[in-house]
Amino acid sequence: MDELSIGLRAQDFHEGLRETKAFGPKEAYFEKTLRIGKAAVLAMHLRGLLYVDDYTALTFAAAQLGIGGSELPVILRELEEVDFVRVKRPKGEIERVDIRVPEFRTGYEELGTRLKALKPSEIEQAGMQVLQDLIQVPQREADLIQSLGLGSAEYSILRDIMRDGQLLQVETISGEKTAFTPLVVDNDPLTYLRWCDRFPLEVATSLKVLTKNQGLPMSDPQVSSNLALNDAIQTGVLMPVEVDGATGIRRFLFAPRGGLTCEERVVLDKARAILACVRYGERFAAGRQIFYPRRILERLRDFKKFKHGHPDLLTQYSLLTLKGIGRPMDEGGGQWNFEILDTEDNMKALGIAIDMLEIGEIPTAKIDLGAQKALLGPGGYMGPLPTRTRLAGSITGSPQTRAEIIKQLSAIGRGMKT
Amino acid sequence: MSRDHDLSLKLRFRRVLFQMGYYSPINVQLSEYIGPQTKRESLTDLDVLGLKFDPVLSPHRVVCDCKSGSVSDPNRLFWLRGVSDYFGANVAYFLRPKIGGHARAIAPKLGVRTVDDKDLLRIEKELRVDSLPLPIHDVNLHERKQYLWNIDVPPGAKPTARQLELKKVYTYLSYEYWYIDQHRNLLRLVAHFQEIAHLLSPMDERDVLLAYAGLERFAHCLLETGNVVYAFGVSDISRNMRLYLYGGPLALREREEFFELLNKLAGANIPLDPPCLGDILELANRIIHNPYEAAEILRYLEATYGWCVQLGNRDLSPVFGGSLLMGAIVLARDVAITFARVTGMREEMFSHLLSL
Repeated sequence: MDELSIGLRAQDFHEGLRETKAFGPKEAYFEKTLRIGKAAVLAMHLRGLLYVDDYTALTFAAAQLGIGGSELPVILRELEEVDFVRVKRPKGEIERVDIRVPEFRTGYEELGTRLKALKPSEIEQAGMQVLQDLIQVPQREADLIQSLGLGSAEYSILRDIMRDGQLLQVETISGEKTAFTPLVVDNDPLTYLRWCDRFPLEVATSLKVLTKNQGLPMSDPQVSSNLALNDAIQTGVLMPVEVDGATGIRRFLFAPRGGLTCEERVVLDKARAILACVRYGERFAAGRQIFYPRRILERLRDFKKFKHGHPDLLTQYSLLTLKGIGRPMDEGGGQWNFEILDTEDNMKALGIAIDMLEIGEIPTAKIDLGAQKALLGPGGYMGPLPTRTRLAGSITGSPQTRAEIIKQLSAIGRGMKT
Repeated sequence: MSRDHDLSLKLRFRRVLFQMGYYSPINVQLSEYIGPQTKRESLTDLDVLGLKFDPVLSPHRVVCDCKSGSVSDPNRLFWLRGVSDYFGANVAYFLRPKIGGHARAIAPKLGVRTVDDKDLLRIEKELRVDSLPLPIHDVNLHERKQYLWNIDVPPGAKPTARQLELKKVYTYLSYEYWYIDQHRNLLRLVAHFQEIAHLLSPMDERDVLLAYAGLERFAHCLLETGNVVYAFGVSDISRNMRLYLYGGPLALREREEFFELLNKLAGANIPLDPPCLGDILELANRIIHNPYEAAEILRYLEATYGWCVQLGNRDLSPVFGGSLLMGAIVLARDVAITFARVTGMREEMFSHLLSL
């Protein structure tokens, strides 16, 4: 696995497991992965800030991201290791955190490299490999177990943890137990699995095409000549985004992304709509073609509207008007501009759209607005954060996992293990 | 070394400029090498150069000529006009203990401000320069710094190989920096310090001064870059920075084509961008997104060297009236960390700054 993927998967593990209670095997076997995952999610929220000198606010923000107060100094040390922060501790106490999180690169490579240097346990490595493989294509569970080479106790620990973190699910398809990750399922998992069953050889490459080209027009030869993708569209595995612009109706495809809450799903849908409109201007403009889509998205994020209007904008961004993301502005003489409404959701959606364009994967779909507020607010904690209620779930250990826990505890009790 | 009779006047005006928010190197020399690099040709020198960036990173420049001996005032004024144009200065000052009527009459037409002893005292009083604890006007402190500037070769001895390497950097900072096109300075400065990074020791006062001088110029380059990027537009900072650093769209295209041909010829895959550019872009991005704080970096660096490194103080706040602009400190540290990283220099060279 490359470093970028390791960094991304570590974050997936943290995101998946943050709402679960402390559970022996999770803490014992996934400690390093979760530490780097927490560092990744904190770095993502610190990006763009110059420094934080209110440690209480930082503690609140971190807690919102699933990082406990006692863990925060450890996570900050990890961020120091990759030089994403410099922590000033004049008398041992944290006084100020200077932020150096990169903005022109994702930073996941550095975190992945750091995790490798920490020498993660065999189960951690297997967990990340399983997740990485299942993101590309579901696998028969029997094949998965064989390829991992883990003992049955280790595999059952891995499966229990990943299942309760909603990173792994097993369904029976055509009489075979099939493992997949809900992270790549937009809609119904069974429909997705049946599609994978029909196109076992094409799924991985097809999804890679979509991840590399988020917002790919359906008329593109990479889609039109791809039987698997056409089947996925017809059976509802993929739901194209439709834009009715100056040169007619066009549909755009996105790599599926699951594991999101309802609120996060709404923001992702907005991001897809925004990117689809920009792709329209890139591929099907009647007048002015878009050559640098990233600049268009950054322009909307930074200035909320375009520098100059033109006739195409009215229809090209009509989908965003329908979704209440923005509104057209008549500049006279047939010229139209488009203004995006400056809401937290819309700005977050623009950030996700930029990520989709640049790296394909969308870790920022998990940006927590409550945590950002805690960091940006002048006085730190200002009252209950306006985010959803979270209830910690328990990881249900299977009989094998429970047996393994007892075995480990007995060994410690006997003085056979330190 | 001959005594600089105008030094006191230059340092007093430097203190005035500091109070006005300027970073101000003195005795700025312009010179170039003609033909093969054997002889340096001195073009002219400027007594005080004031540099300030406003909160949208637009530069404001001041040039100042300080003369206490006998010179022709009108001649100096015409010369100063030319120097002012060369540096793109917004204001030019002509300082003399006494200024004749002819000079005062012609100065406004040339866009030059004349300042005699009485005027200078009045300006100092209005700007409350006495309240500044940093003795920026202290001749002894300045001469101590001057003593440390350059390699130390005993009379009759030959410079060592190490000293010869360092001399190239002193020459660049002293003579070439203000002469060559500004957009070339950033990468050239980094390259010069990459050559000598392994020779510098945080225990050697000369080396520390040299490192801080490089750091100030590095910050200056970044602020000048920020100014141009603002002009190009901040919607694509990375691209616009590259456009500037490589000399504009046409020059960038030429360089890209050159590297394409080079790679084809050599069967290699050498990128145009040096490996350090990624870190520099990230830092410039932070500067551009925090222009209010960034505008103060140069003054904070100047104060850090004088107040903390030279005088051994640990708290910088008295220099700034008891309250520090924390963002400026953070960015100044960031500039030092990045400068050390991209040149390969040890961060300990800037231990005083990094402890703030």
